[in-house]
Order: sequence, then structure tokens, then C-alpha cells
Amino acid sequence: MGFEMFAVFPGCTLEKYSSELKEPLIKILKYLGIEWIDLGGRCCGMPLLLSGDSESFREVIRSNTDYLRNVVVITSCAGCFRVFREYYSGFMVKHLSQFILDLGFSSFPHKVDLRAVYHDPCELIRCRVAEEPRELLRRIPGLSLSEFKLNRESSTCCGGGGLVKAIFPSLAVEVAYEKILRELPQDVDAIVSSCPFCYLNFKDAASIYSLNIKVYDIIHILGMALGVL
Amino acid sequence: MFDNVFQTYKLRLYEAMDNSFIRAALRRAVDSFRINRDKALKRYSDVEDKRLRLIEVKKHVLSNLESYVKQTMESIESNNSYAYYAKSINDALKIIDEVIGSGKMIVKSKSITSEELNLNYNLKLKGNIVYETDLGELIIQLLDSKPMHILSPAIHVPKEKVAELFSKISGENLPPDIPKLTMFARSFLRDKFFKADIGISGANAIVANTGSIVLIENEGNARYVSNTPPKYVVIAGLEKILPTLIDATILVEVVSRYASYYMPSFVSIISGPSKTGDIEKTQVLGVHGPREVHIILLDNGRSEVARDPLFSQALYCIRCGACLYECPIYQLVAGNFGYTYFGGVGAIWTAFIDRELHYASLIAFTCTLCGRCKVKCPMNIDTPEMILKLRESIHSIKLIPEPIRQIIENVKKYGSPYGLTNRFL
Ligand code: SF4
Repeated sequence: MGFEMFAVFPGCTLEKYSSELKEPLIKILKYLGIEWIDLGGRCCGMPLLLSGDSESFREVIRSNTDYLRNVVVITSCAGCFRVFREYYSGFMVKHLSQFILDLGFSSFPHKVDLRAVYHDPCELIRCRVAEEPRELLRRIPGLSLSEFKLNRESSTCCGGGGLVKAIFPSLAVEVAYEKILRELPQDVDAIVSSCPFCYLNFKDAASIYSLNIKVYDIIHILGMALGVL
Repeated sequence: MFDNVFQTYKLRLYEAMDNSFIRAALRRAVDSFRINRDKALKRYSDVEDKRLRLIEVKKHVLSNLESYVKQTMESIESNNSYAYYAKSINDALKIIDEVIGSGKMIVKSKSITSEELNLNYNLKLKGNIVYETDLGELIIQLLDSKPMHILSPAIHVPKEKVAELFSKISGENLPPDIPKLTMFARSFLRDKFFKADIGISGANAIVANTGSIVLIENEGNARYVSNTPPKYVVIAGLEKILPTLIDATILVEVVSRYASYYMPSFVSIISGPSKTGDIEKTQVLGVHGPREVHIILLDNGRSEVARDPLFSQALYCIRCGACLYECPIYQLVAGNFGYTYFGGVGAIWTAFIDRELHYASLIAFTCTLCGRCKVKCPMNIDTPEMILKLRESIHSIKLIPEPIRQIIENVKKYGSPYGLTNRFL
């Protein structure tokens, strides 16, 4: 690993929800004691890709690529992750969960007493990232991990993707609500995802419908397990 | 104009989403669909090889479409039937007008292709009476509503509503008892089948080298429609062509299993009019079945789509409906997520077959791109990829809904879709 240079790409959504998502992420990285280039609140271009503006999307790729040559990009946004994987080239990208797992963390210092179910973000599962977040969660003391009946490749969507939430916000939230209502396993107190869009959408559903369920991004769980949150 | 369509569409989605009947019906349907499909796929595990073979066959036909259309027409004609090629909706309606005319009584079995032509409306305009004979379609027709699923068009209508409708036409007070309501539909339609001048159906497949029409059904109404009236008219999209009868039997197995059935109750193969030579070997047409069979092959944009390297796969769709039941949006709003054709793959059909670009845009932007349809599709249709490309085409003709326009502007101006406001995502 020695010659690798890390670049952290929080992405525009973490930037937007800075205190809720970006700051915890930075705390984790600081705790891990690695050095990295901070790419600030740049956007990977996915909103343009999803809007059909391919020309502007390519421009964003070009301008981002200048910063990303020969680095290992770390992101906790499933959207950025997929876009980097499928549309960029010239560097390596790791989802936060992969990155931390690769550091070889076999146990975490703090207990997180939680009965959690892991929700597969569509953008990660289509890139076949399913086991890394689960493996991390399993290593956290106190945390018991459940599964939705439909999981991994068969998992169902939270409704927060594809820009649907921007144009039909209530519909997006309703998808999340329907998933919670229909699929949530028994005896679970929290849904954990590894994508800010899933996190935000489930959180909206839980608060709008006053559901008795906590919603976390994996950042939060890792932060608690490392004692930085 | 587009903004109005957007608002209307959004309102419809939200209304459907808040309708507890639709929700309850869809939940039941999705649950039983999943159980039965998994059972069917498990019991007939060979369907895996068959669907892969069917994909190859479809690919082959669509890349040689013109010659297959020619062969199909020749085969149909050699069966003493009439073959027509309709380039456009207008061509098709003209042919139908000539073949059917006016003042006729018509029985019809479920066909989405006919929805493309707004056929019932056009037939009525000419003074014909049309009876939909599929139970779900009959309900939809009586409600003056729009089908909400390709296989279960009345998926959103509760039994109480059906009882109310059927009571009205029967003049009796029918209870919301499903077997009784079904019996009523049976008796109501029975004489219509025999009195009708014309039967109209779509086709699940048309076999190029035999000119056969293949109908797959469970109710048995399509058999009547194709058999009891003296004249039988088929309207089928070009994508229904398959090279041989063997390919058609593969289709039967694949489509039914992915539609959650072991086997459909009835598969009909119709190759020309009813005929006999039993008296002095003299051939006479029209014994117990139809004397005339007319088959209209509808293009309406299909040949063009077939030539597109990406979108051609939309024509592989065998209308099993699996993707709809697995779609998180469809599960909430049913066929309101669609136009004539539903769901994500429906967006492609709306754009290139219906050519309703306003709706195509809105449908494309109602898709979360989760990719579950692709995972569950027997034909490996990559709907998310097509939706992305469709959004690109839509962007180039500037039919982007306002909130999305805002996002684009924000990224360009501020480097973030959120811009300086709090409004989006
Ligand atoms: S797109 Fe695939 S899953 Fe959906 S109806 Fe067509 S064949 Fe079936």
C-alpha cells in the first residue's frame, strides 16, 4: 500500500448534510490516522448523468479527473462510488467500508448496542459490494445484524435514487415507508445503509410517519464503534 | 404545456399512491406473485436454458426483421388468410375499417397492442359495439377506466366495486362474492360470443414459417373470440414474430413461468380459417370456426427501434409482467407509472412506439433506476441503461421537468446540485 495516496471524496450530498454526514466521516478518517487529500464538496457528476445532461457530465468528469490521477479515492457515497467505477478511469476507488476493512480492523474498541438490519443500496449492490459493510458491522461488539428477506442482489430499493426524490419527493418517501412496513424483520431497532440517499430517504420516512425505528448510515455506526461520535 | 402535463401526472401518481384499495390489492398481488413465480421457476428449472435461448431467437429475428415480416406474410397467405402490414396507426385503422366496417358486434380479448391504436374508441366511433371478454378488461371497460397491469388489468379494483358494476348491468343485486361475480361475467358474455360478427385479439406470438397465431390464456375467452364469430381479426406488433413453432413453445414456457404460472390453461395455435373437405373432398371454409382470418402486423415504429443498438432490447419484452411486480414504484401507483405500456420498460415504448414524449420524460424520471427489473427479467432487458439513455435524448429536446432543470443549473453554476438552496434531493 505504501506508495498510495488517498483522496477523500465526500461528495456533494455529504457536503450538503455536513454536520450529519461529512463531519462524522472526517472524524473517522482522523481517528484512523491516515493522510489524505481533501476534495471538499465536489460533485462526482451523477446528478448530471441522471438528468440526461451527458455533455456537462463529461465536463465534470474531465475537471475531477485532474484531481484524481493516481490516487485511491475513498468515498462513502454509493452514488459517487458507482459513478467512479463505471464512468471514470485512471484511479482506484474504494467505498469507505472496503477501505476500513482493508485496513484490517478485526475488532472495534467500543460497543454499539443495536439490533440492526442492513439495507443494500442499489448503487453498491449493482457494483457487487455487499459483503464488506456486513463484515464490518459483524465485527462491531454489541451489534447484532439481521437481514431483510430480500437481500443482496435481490434487495429492494429505498426509493431515494434516480433523482425521483427531487421530482416526486412524497413518492420517494412512500417507497421507503412501504419497504419498512412490509419488509422490516422483527426485533430490529435500526436500519443501517451505506449510502447517503438511502439514509436520508429512510430517515424522512421514519420521521414523517413517526416510526419507531432508528436510521443510520454506516458512517455513524463506525463512528460510534471507534468512539469518535 | 409540458409543465401542465407534469403537474397532472404528478397529481395522478400521488392520488394512486394514497389510494388504499390500490395499495392493498398490489400488496396481495405482489406477495402471491413472488411465491408462485418462485415455485414455478423451481419446478421447471429448465426454464433457465429456455429463456437464454429465447433471447438469442429474439435477437436474431429483430436483426432480420424485414425478411421475417415477409416470410410471415407469405405463410399467412398460404394458409388462406389475409395478411396486412401496417406501417403506422393510421394504416392500421384504415385496414381495420375496411375489414370490419361499421354496425358490427365485436368480441375482443385482451390486447395491449390494440390500446396503442385506441381501438375500442375507434371501433365505436364507426358505430360498432365492442365487448371486452377478459374478465379484468370487461371490468375496466365497464368502469371506463384504463388497464393497470398487462396481465391483471383490473388489479386496482376491489370486489365491492365489481359487484356494484355488475349489479348495474344485470339489474340484480349481486353480492361481492368473487365466484358469483365470475359466474355472472360468464353468463353475461356467453351469448355475445355466439352473436358476434367479429372476434378481435392480439397474439402472444406469430410463427414466421407456418403463419400461425399463438394465443396464451387462462380464462378461455380468447378461444371463443378466435373461434365462434365468422370473422377473426388479429392485430399484433412485429416483435411478436418467432421463426418456428418450437420457438413459440419455448415462449409459452418462459412467459408463463415468469408470469408465475406452471402452465397457462389454454394455448391456441391458429393457422388459418376453419375448413373441411369432408363432402366429396371439396374444400369449404368456415365450418365451426371462422371463415375469414385477417392478420394485421403492426409496425408503428418497431422496425426503427429494432435497428437501434440499445433500445432494440425493449422489443424483446414478452410481457410476462415480472418487472412490474418487482418495481418499487409500480407497487405503489400501478399502471399510473406508464402510458399504454407500463413500468420502466414502458417508458421506452412510450417514447418510441406511442411517441408521447411528454409522458416518456415523466415516466423516465419516475424510475429510481434501482435495477431490480433487470435482475428479474427473463429476457435480460437492461431497462435502467435504456432509461438513462432516454433521459439523455429527452434532455437534448429540452423536455426536462423543472426540478431536474434546476439541478442541472445548480451543478453547472455552483458545482453542487443543491446549489445555494435547501430544496432538492
Ligand atoms: S421487461 Fe422483462 S420482466 Fe418486464 S414484462 Fe418484459 S420480459 Fe417481462
